[in-house]
Amino acid sequence: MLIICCPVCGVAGDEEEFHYGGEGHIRRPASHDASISDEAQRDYLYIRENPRGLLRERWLHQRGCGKWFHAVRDTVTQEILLVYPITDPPADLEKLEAERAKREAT
Amino acid sequence: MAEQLKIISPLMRSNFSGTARSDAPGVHITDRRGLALVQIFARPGKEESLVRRLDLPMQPGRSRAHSGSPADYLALPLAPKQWMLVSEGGKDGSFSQTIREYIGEFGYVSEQSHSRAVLRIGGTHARELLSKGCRLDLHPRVMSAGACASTTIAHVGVLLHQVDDAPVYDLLVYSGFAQYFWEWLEESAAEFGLASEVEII
Repeated sequence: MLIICCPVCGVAGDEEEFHYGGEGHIRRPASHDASISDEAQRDYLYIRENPRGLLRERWLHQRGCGKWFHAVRDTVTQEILLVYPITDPPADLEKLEAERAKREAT
Repeated sequence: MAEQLKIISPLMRSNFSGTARSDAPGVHITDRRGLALVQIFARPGKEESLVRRLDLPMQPGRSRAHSGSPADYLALPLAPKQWMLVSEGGKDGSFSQTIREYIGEFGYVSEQSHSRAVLRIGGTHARELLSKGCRLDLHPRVMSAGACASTTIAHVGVLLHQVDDAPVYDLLVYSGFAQYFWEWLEESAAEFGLASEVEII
């Protein structure tokens, strides 16, 4: 069971209070370019990262403050390395990885 | 008209009674009837004005008691730009009317007095009882008097407010779930010994 800290209301709640919203930072291409190819639209709908390691994803604090936010989760260890506001640009995964390696080395 | 102003509680038709069921109860549960509840929302761009006008808590997760003008109330943060005001008078609608007139264009007001049951939980085992169903960390190093959070207890959405460090908690439970929630409390508190009473405010 994950303990997630909501960056909006600051409450550290159990996973059951939250709703998973899939991979974050996915933009609908047709909203930005009307002449977009079918392949790009397909990729938007169906193609996801599914990494072994860090993934940026969206979460909803459904039973708490009701707000969406982003989180970076390690799909192997389930560790949540960072939570940040829904309007922020994508988190730098390499930097987070480096910071974690440094923490673990000390 | 008098009928409409009668103080009612979602637990009126349950077996909630005012008797102690144990010689030395570890948990005291009070059904606080007659509070006025008002939910307020800030209009876009008016959050700071509303906070100043009503002396609201800006820090998430902390309550704030206000006394004086326009009324005495306790403000509980619900979500960003949303608060619940709890008042010991004005359940006939006058409290929400006062707040609505007082904040003017700064926000919206929604009367909620009959939408929740307010249960006060105290006694030596209050924290232990809530820990059975609440997934937040209720330990004093994390939560102290004045802490406030929307969460779930026994799968029911509640607004939890820690009244003091004894600890005593107030739970605002949706009326439709109050009966189930009371039954869950009653069963969960059985091992500690339970005393319950009704408080008419």
